[in-house]
Amino acid sequence: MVAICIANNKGGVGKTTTAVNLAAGLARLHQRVLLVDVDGQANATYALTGRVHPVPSLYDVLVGSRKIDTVIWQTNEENVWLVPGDGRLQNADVELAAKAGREWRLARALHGLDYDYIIIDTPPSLGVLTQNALAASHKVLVPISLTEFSLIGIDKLDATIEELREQLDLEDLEIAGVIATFFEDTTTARDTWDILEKKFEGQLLETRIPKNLDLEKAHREHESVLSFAPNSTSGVAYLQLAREVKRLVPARARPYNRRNSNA
Amino acid sequence: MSQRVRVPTTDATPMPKPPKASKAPKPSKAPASQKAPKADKKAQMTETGASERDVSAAGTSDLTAQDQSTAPESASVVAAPTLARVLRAVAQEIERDPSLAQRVAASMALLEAPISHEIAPMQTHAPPLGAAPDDAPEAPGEPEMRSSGRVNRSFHPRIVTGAPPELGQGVPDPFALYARIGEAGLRATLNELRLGSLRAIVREHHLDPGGRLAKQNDAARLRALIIGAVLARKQATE
Repeated sequence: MVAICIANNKGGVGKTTTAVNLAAGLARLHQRVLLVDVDGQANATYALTGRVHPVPSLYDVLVGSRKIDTVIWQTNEENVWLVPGDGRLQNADVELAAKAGREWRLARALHGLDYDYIIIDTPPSLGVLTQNALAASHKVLVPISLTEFSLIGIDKLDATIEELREQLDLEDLEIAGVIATFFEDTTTARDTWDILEKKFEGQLLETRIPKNLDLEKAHREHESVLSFAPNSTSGVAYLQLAREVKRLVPARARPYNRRNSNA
Repeated sequence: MSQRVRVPTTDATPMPKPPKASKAPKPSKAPASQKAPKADKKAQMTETGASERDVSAAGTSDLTAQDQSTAPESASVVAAPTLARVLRAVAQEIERDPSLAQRVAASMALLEAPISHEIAPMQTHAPPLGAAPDDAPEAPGEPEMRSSGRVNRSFHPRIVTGAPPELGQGVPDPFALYARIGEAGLRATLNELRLGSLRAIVREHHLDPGGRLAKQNDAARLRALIIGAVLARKQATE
């Protein structure tokens, strides 16, 4: 079992799309995957089930006292399960603020679950929910769109991870890779890629996710692009990404147990 | 030089062709000083609000006052009789065709009404109770003519409300649904489901052992397969 957080404090960089399709890609490689939707927009939940803001959800686990195994769903993708999110999570940052051990609530909830991979989709912020996601993760994947705005603020995520690592004593929490999304064969995209290569030397994954309409269409059909259009450029890219991630972050043959998860 | 008539795209009425006239000599190219500055043209387009397309109309002269003022004097003199003929023909056509008259009236209202939010006065009062806000979603269907005369062609995406709650958690069970809400209810529910959910039902309930149908992006056939399987099981148990 290994938990991977898909995080970037910027919105619209392809976090949810990457979480959904990476989960489906890993499932295609015979891995059992649990996707956890920590984002109050609950787009990952919609993308794989067609449900909008279902209740009960992860909110009832993090803010209430519901057991997580009562909100684990089979999704439209084989071998991908889901802990759905809903709109109430948007207030969870405030509601959790006064609670003790607030950063560890997700890690505690996941304790003892047995999957090969847990993929955690995060909101575009660095609030308590994202901190929960990071604390519950062994590794972080950072999607970055190859656009002009993408590089602004990327240092902040880096610094937050560093800060959390020290605060919560998470020695092994690190950025496992940076994923370039929205790739187009344009000068801007190539230039941004060059900059990212220098900034994230050795961390930038080889797979580039192309900008492709099939990704949007797949969301509309409530499935991954690997099911909707497996031979599309994005379908092929996400399967390749899953292979790369599996090689880079191999699953461990033991149930989920994050350090300090019983704190 | 082909002269240009600006026609707002919101007006679907084609300009009537002008009656054939004897060829007018080509007006000489306007000197740079007489050309309207680009910024002015842009401002004019903003004022009219709607996006505009340029329609080549050889043999007709510009209809806007501004363009007339920027055209060379000789061209105006030559084009005046042609313009008069065109306008007379248009007037006759408007008198003859009430629907055209209505559309022209609507277009004129469009030109007079403030369109752009930037130039419209700010709304300082709340709309009356029960009145729909300007940006309220409208029912899908044919484009409507607004009171301002502007044809509403905005795209109406459906508000996503998600799958109905009777589906419960996870992949829906069509057999349980049939038992609970009957065939008509099941059909209606399946009609709301997209490809991913239909494929998942077929997969989870082993309705397509070969997996060939599930690979096709054909929701109608998947629905038919599911309904068929449910009815077949019902018959088998009777």
